[in-house]
Parts: sequence; C-alpha cells; structure tokens
Amino acid sequence: MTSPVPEGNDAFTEIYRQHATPVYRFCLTLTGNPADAEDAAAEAFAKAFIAFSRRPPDDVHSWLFRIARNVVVDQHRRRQARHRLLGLVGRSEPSGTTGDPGVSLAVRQDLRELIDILGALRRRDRELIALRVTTDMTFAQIGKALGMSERGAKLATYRALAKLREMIPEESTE
Amino acid sequence: MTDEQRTRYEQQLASRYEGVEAPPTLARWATRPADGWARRAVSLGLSARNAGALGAVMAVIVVAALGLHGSHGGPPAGSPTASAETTSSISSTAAGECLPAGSAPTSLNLVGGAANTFYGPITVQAPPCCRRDTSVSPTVFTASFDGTMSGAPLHFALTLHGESGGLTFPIGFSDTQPSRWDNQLQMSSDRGDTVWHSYFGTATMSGDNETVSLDVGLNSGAIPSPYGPSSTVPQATDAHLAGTLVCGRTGSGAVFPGSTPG
Repeated sequence: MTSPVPEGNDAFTEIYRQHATPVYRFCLTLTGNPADAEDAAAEAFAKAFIAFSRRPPDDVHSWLFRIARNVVVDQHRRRQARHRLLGLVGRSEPSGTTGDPGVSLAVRQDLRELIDILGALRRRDRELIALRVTTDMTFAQIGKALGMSERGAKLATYRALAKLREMIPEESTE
Repeated sequence: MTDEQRTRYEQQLASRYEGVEAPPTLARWATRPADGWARRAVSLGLSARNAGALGAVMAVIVVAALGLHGSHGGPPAGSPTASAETTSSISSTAAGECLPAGSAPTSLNLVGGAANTFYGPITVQAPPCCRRDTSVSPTVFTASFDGTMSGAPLHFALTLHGESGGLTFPIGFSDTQPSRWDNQLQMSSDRGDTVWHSYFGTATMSGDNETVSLDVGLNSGAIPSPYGPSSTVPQATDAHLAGTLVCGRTGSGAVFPGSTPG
C-alpha cells in the first residue's frame, strides 16, 4: 500500500490528517506515556515535514513510521543521558515527570495492560506488534520501516505475537 | 496459531486502542496557517541553524546546576537580560465556557506589555465542566501556550509550572510535555527583521482541583547566541502569550477566560 502524495504544504497537511492518530498510537505503545507519545509524535511530524520538503517519499507509511520509531529511540537515549548528567550534578528529575507508568495518565485500562506487557518484550518485538496493531501497513511496509525484509518482518511479527499471546491470552469469542 | 486465530488476536489487540486519538494539542501544529510544522521544527532545533545536541546537553547542565527547574519562571541567572527585568502579574478567576466534547479548544490572549520580560503567574479557575469531570479519575488538565515576540533576532525563554492539588509540575517550555529541561528556545529571523515565532508547552495535571495555577516566564534579549554577537541583539518590544486549558481525557474542552496584565 503506497499513499499517493500530492505536492506542497497541503500534501503534508493531508499526511498529518491521515496519520496523526496511528503515529500517536504507535508512539504511545513504545513510550508507554501519553505525554512522551505526544512529544515524540510532534517531533516525528516536524522531522517529516523537513524531510518531505526536500524529497517526498515513495511510501509515506514506511517513511513516517521509521521517523517516529527513530524519534522514540532518540527520546529514550536523551532521557538516559539526562539521568546520567543529573546524577553527575547530584540532582534527580522531579517525581511525576518521567516515563514512570504510575504517572501515565488517561490510558484505558486494557491498553495500559497491553503497553505494560509489551514493555517486557524486546524492543524490536514491541515495534513489530505496535506497527501491526496500530496501522494497516503490510509486512513489506513494516519491514521497510524497521529495516527488515518482508519475510523477516512477517516471521518476526508472528513470533512476537505468539510470545504476547502467552502473556495476554486471546479473549473468548463465545 | 492459525491465520484465523492470529487475525482475530490482532483485532482484539487493535480494539484496545479504540478512542485513543491524537491529542488536540498535537493538531495545533497542523492547523496553523501555512507553516506550523516548519515553526515546530525550528522550535525543536531541527533547522540548519540549530544548536544541536550540545545545546540540549548544556541546557541540562545549566538548569541542573542553577536549580532553575521548577522554580519561578525566568531567565537563567546571570544572563544579560536579568538586569532589565520587569514583572507583570496577570490573573483571572472568572469561570470559563465549556465546550462540547471534541470541540477544538479556543485560544485566548494573555498579553504582557513589558519589554523584554513577561512573567505570570496565571491563576485559572477551572470551569464547572472541568470540576464535573472529576468523576473521571484522574482529571487531566492540559494547558497550552503560544508565545510571540517582536524584535529580531531574539531569544525566547519560557518556563512554566502548574499546580494542581498541591502537586507541582515543572515544565520546560521548549517541549510539549512536563519534565523537559531544555527550557530555552532560541530563535532568530532569517530576514533580519521582525521575528514571529511561537511555541507552546503542555502541562498535564491530575487532581480534583478547581483551580489551576500556572507560572509563565518569558524573556528575551541579549543572551549570547550562536546566531551572532549578542551586541547586535535588540530588545523585544512586544510579547504575547495565548493559552488554552483543556480538561478531561479526550479533548473535551474548557476555555479559560482571557486575562489582562494586573
């Protein structure tokens, strides 16, 4: 699935309209925190805007989620660096301002459970599942977003889902 | 797991995201005239003239060392603009107007006329719809601000913290969430004339309070800049803050009323 890309700023506005919620959901799944997710999504769209103005991508979906994924990884690294720096000067971050699940507000209970359990998986597994359930991307697109082959993405996603299913059983449909 | 089982399982997982939408504060960047994302990118330091990672690291060190984070908003101690400070207090206690759920929040202008500096605090009485929303636990308040200043090139430093239920949430204003330390935003004009720049921070507060207090500090002036010698930096001649307060989980909005300098 490749989105047609109109030209100009209107094109990017349309990209935002189509992808804002999936990108936010993806970021929320990876960060576990609505505030971090909003932050990451905003940064992802800003970076995408810059990149888009230089060269519109062939496949908006893969491109945008790759940017979002990288932003979340960078966000995590920055937080770790900040912790280290603050430790050096003998300070800590104020309580209630980190990615602590205890301060993750306004996430429905069953989603909170999913995010928390996903947090126990490897990052790549978490990314694969997040893309699979928050977007309608094909495995080819998921693979492209994460730097994997289509087949690799498919197999790895199936494995990750199987792991998750051991922790969150399928709900009965009876 | 069969394909059918897998598909069903994926659908069950996806259903947990129902009702989770991109927050309205995020949409603000997309709904601004013409170049909202460009300005957002600049505010994130993504332009070619950004200070880069070093700037972020320096901000952490400066903030941590000076103990500014969580204190009253203001410029870094020792900055050249400190001697030019004036303080404006603005307050508002009138009840706001409730909007239907899903309505876009409406901005109000909080105008500070002092050159170079502009400080809160802003005290906002949560509108009745927000108070009713305390049945939803936790209540979430989201405050968003834009700041604009004229004069070029400028530095724009904002700090803000909100109080709700005795809890204080320091907010670095150069990002969209609490806990950011890099609370200085640098800006300049490529044209060398009037700078028009905006930024907003978001405070997410929980509690069952009727009052939300926000401290806002805005400063501009000749802070040494990677953009050029500080001696060439003129002082700001005007400053505006515009803010919205949204209560509730899903963007159901309450607009807090406009305020004027006290």
